[in-house]
Amino acid sequence: MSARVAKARWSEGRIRLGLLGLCLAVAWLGMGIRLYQVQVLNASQLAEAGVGQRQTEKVLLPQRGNIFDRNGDPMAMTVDSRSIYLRPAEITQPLYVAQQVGGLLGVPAEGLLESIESGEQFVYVKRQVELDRAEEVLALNLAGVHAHEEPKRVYPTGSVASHVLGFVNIDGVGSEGIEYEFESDLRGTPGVFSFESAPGGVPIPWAPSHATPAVPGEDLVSTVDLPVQYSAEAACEETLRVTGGTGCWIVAIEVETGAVLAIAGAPAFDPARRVSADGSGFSNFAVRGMYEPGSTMKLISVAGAIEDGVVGPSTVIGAVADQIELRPGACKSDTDEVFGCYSDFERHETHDMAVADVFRQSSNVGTIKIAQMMSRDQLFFYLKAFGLGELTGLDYPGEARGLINLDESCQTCPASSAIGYGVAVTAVQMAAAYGAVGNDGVWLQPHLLSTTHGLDGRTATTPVASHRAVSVETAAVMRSLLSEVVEAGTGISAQVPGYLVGGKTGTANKLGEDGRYTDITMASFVGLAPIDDPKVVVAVVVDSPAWEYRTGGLAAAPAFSTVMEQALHRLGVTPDAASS
Amino acid sequence: MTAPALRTRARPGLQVVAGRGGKPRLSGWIFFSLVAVLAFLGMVFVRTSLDRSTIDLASLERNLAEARSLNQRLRLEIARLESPARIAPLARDLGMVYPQTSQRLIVDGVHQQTLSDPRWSDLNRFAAGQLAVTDHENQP
Repeated sequence: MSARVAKARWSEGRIRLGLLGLCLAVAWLGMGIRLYQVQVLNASQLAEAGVGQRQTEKVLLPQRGNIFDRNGDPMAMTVDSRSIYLRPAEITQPLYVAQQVGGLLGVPAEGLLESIESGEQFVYVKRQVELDRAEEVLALNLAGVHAHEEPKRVYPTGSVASHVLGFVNIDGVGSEGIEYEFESDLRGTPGVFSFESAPGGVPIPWAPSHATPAVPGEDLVSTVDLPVQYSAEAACEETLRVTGGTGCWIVAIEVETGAVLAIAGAPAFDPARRVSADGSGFSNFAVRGMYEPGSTMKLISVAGAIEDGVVGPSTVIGAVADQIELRPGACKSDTDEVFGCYSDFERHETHDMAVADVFRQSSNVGTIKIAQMMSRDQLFFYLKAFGLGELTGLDYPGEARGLINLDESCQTCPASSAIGYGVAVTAVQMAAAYGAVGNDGVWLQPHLLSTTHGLDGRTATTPVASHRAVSVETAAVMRSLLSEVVEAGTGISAQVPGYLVGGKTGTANKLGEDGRYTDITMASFVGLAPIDDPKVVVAVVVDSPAWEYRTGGLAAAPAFSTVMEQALHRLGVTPDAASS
Repeated sequence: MTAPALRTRARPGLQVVAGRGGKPRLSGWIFFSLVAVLAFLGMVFVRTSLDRSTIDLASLERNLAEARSLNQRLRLEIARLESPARIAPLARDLGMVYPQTSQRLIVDGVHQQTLSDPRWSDLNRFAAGQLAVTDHENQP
């Protein structure tokens, strides 16, 4: 009986059932253990990993600050745009997509097709496309064609003021000019939007999200006056057309504040395309380019001599010839092997000249004789006092310092420096130096930024450095001498209808590649108006004008007149009584 | 001493039957079901309203973004239209020039020669403004 019972108890069916139960028990146990691991032991770790998979962070690009001119007219703005891109893996009809999208965006279809078939995961078709055009592309409903928002920098005035503004690169980062100089103020702070999303990037509704908004950049108000700027650029273009010069640069500064009204240059530069009209890159000769100023330097030499009592305006300089030899044999040599021979622009008999006549007739010999009455240190002091050989502090990147060479070992340097040779200056430096004479002897730091406006309403104004270069009396004398140059001297073409103008012409021969002076000139004119109470100083520099326009009076003075007239009208300066 | 037991007298025709508990049990379930259904409907309504509000909000935000974008484009358009690079050639084509003869306002008691005096700089600006207004009014 017991054997039957045992047989019944361990029958095959029961064994199977038992094994099945055991398996089930083991499986449930395994699941329980795994559940315990997932839900208890690794719960937080896995929860974090899950959130990490769902969590998406989107960078919110800040709106770059706008740049306005002194009247509040926008010169640079940021607008919404879209960048069109492709995901080639999603594209089923590569040729059709390339033709349609490329056609709408002005991108060659062949190149686009090549990019699609290159195996890349992501291909930009065109960045920063205007919204309307982007909508047209997206309305085609082509698989694999996508767009994302991207702010675009635009310059509503086109090429006007481009040499002041500079430009940003494709990623909206300032690369030149004011855009570069004030990058930290303009760019703002990016924000972040984090949210949970399903595969494919679709946001999960009601899931937790967090947004840190982007902080827009500050708006900048420049000192530039757009109409004056335009006038200066147009004058430069006209000057190049008439004189055949290779370059023209104009700087206009408000005398009483140092505010730069215009920095213009030709050829013009297109900030949107980041290329100049002649295909060259960005340049700003007015700030970065150095040149030998020639006779415009005489203002500083003569002002220094008058300030130190070396001469007065009526002091007679005896026996002023049309040539002076500072080193024996210098004038007898046909070559420039021996430096030290200086001539006046035109031949004349040797005669006595008052300092005022020396200045009005721009006599090199007379000016050298005046400089010879000064010590090397005196001359150096006044060159520095008028801001030469130093950065002016203009808020613009890459300003050139200029060069002053009055080394003791250089015998002819004081004489050549006095007439604007052997020194290198920038147009901005010369404008600021003449501005000091207009501002009763006080040199003011030229500046391009007027104020910044933050989102919080904070407004900051640019501080301006200043120092006295010469006395009020000397400045008044120099203004009188400058007015004679325009009234009856070399600068007659600089006259402005309705206003009394003062200024000085400059004509300097350019150095050739062999280090010798050539017949090619750098013609310039720097002047002030109204001369009895100057409001504006304008400096014009023309590079390599044709021979018949080789002097500052012929090449640069007419442009000065045009720009000065516009600036005086813009500032509402009352015409002078004597000219009305 | 023990009290005598109560006597019960049997009544003919009467018998003991099971009681029904006083209140009907079904009404409680009906009430609970009604509340549950109402709560469910209420939640659906609230959820729908919230969704609708969210859609409305998104729509408003989209409209706002579009309005901002339009405003931005219009500002850009204004700036382009006001650019001197556009206006100056048009003015030139129309033959507009600066007035060749200056018109001056002489204020009684203020001599012309004093206009260049720094003390009258404010007056100069004022007069210049008047001059600009006069010129503007005199234009054809």
